[in-house]
Amino acid sequence: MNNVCPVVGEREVYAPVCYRSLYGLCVGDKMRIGNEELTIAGFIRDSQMNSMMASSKRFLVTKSDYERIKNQGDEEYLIEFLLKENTDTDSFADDYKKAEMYSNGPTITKPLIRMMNALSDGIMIFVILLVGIAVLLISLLCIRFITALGVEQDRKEVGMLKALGIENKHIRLLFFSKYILFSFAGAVLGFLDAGILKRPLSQKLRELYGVSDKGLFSVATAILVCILIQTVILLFIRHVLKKMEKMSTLEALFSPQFVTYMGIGDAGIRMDVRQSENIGEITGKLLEELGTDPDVLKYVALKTVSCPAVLSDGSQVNLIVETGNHSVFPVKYAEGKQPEKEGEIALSSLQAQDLGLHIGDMLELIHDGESRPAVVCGIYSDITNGGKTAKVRSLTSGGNADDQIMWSILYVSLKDGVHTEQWMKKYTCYGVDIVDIAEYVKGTYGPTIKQMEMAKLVAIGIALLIIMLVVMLFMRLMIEKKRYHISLKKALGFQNDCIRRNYFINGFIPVTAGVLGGVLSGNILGESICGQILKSFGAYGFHFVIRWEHVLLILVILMVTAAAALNLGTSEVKKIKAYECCVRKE
Amino acid sequence: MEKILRVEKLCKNEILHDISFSINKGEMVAIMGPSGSGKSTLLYNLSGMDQPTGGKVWLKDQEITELSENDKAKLRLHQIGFVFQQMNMMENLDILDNILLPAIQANKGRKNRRKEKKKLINEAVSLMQKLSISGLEKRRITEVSGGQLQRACICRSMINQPEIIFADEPTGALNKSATEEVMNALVDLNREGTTLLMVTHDSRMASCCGRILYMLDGQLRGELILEAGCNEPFKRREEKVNQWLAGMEW
Repeated sequence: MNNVCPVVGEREVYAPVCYRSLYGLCVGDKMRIGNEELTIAGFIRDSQMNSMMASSKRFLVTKSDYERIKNQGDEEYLIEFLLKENTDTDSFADDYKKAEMYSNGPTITKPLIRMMNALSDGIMIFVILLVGIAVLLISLLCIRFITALGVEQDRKEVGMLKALGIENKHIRLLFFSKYILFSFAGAVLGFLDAGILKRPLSQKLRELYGVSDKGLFSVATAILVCILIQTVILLFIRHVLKKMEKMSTLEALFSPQFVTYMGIGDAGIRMDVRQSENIGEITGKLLEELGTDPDVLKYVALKTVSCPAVLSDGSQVNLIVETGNHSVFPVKYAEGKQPEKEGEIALSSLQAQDLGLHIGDMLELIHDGESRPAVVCGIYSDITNGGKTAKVRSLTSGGNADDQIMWSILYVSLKDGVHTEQWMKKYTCYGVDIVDIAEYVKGTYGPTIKQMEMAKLVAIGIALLIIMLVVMLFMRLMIEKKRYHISLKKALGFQNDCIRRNYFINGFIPVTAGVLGGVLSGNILGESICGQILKSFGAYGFHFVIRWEHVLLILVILMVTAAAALNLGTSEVKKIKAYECCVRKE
Repeated sequence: MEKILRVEKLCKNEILHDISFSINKGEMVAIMGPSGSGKSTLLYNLSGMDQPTGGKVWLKDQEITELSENDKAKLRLHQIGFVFQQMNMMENLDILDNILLPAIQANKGRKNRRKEKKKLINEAVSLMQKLSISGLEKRRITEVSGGQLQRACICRSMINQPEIIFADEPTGALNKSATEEVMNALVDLNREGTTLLMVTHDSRMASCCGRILYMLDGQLRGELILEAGCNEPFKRREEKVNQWLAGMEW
């Protein structure tokens, strides 16, 4: 954890750091693997498997401890290559498969790791950055109001200075000096606040990826950025003063539909049949059992094979093809539809991008010595199995020969009222991995969701603060501009409440339009912007799942805040004296 | 004689000290004094536009000093008229609308507002006729002379039939002929029974009044009572006033 390779001792284990917060682990805790008990001696960062979206995790033990433990489960080999700079990883992966090397597992490449990190931690960084930019833009708006308000309030003094022959530039400098001071104070406060907020928001990032060793450099950069922002703000103030002279993403994560963007159908339970000599036999037995199980609502078995394919330009590739009835638990397609008959093939977005294929393009699938044409009918997001997969209905008329199956996955939906955990126990005797998909999503995204929750709360807090500030400042400016008229009205007998009500209503209408427009465009434009950004990381077809009751709640909260701000802003009316109009002529 | 205004030991910070006097119904009273003597401040405190720090003010039988801001506003709307030195009309309204402004506010919440509004317009037009500014209804405030504008201001102060009109230097911003127009307008109003309290620097203006109060350094230092009804030749009244003022070290 301190950027030093750990030295593990006998009967000790170094656990992956992401499990530390997830399971509340501490140094000294015991870990049991079968009959073996190991003591957690520390935590390690794993650049390949840090992300919670990586389904595998590694623990570090001594060689002798490994020899004792390995028989408790199935051994897996991780075959890693460090390639020379600029090597085409895809060609390398193809060559590896052509050489028929061991490859009954996923291929993990740098783009996939980048996508997984982007989907988990990158989203949060993006949200924070977006909020920061929004805050800066809105700050500039607030500055415009504050500056204008200040000039209105000091109008008499400005007039007097001009009458005395003071030049505009000197008057501007007078105001400017005031704002330089405020700006500096604001910058210091903002810098300190950022330092405080940085800790909880980047806690997970620091834990997973470590702390940058560029300590002084990063502080210097932060100060530089702060100075840059202040320069922008001060230039804006100068511009305004010169002029005065002649004024929701997160929902998707909670939806069960989100799994369909992960390349998994919308089923309740998933059974993985892998790393066995009898994949076909076990799958057949499970299908028989599921067919007669009264608790099962629907199920399907999808078998995955490696299948060479020839593209239209004659180049040959190896595809990981999932065969079966994809309509039982369909995934979400960014384009097109699922394959429903022979001769149709759907590709994952990364796979399609890699091969340069689109809907309607043709390729030849080579299976059982025969070449069969297939048209690309759909493109979907998939982050499982390296992100590069394909789907067909079937490759042979009678199903696939068992010895060609790499693995099979059975998806099951249970009837209402069936206890999932208890049901799953019935099938453990088959020696297959059985996963409750909801728990799987929760486990994969749980930490991300927590971080996003925090970012969401911060964003909401900032949004409410900004609404409060902007609306209140705007009302104060309006009232200051109309000070003479308000004073005259009071002198003529208009009551405070009447005058305030007038300004409140006049302010409420544009504020309502603004809030409505903002929430609606945020949902529509925001979906488009987020979708484009996630698309660049290979995750296609992302949509917000909009819960309108939440949207309504947010609208209500925003309107209440705006109303409170209007109320506060119009309270300035009370301070204006009726006799002011007698001494101040507009 | 019914007392319209009664002031007892009125104080305002360092500006006014123990001011006490009263005004009867139908009187026209002037307050004179050098600049900075607190005349305008006195007027603001009497009309509820400012809050005194000591003493009491009664308008008819109602003590107004401790009223809330809203109640004082009601008072200014229904029972007090105010004429400003700088006229203080709204640029975005025409002359008629400026005159109607307090009346429309007073009319809010009443039944048959449309009918009432017609009635008010008729009243405003009638007032304008009385003050010889008929025909200026649709003019902007920048399209009329100073005298005409100040007479429109007087109409505005009269529209809700107040108990008393306060005038703060009503001719201060006017030329000689305009001053004459406004002076005559105010005198005519008083003759018809309107109670007036005005602050003025103009001894000619003050000579039209039945009583003059002299202020110096925030205190009332003297009082001159002139013959009511203006039976006395005006020139003689004016001489009397000037002599008295000289005695006050004006």
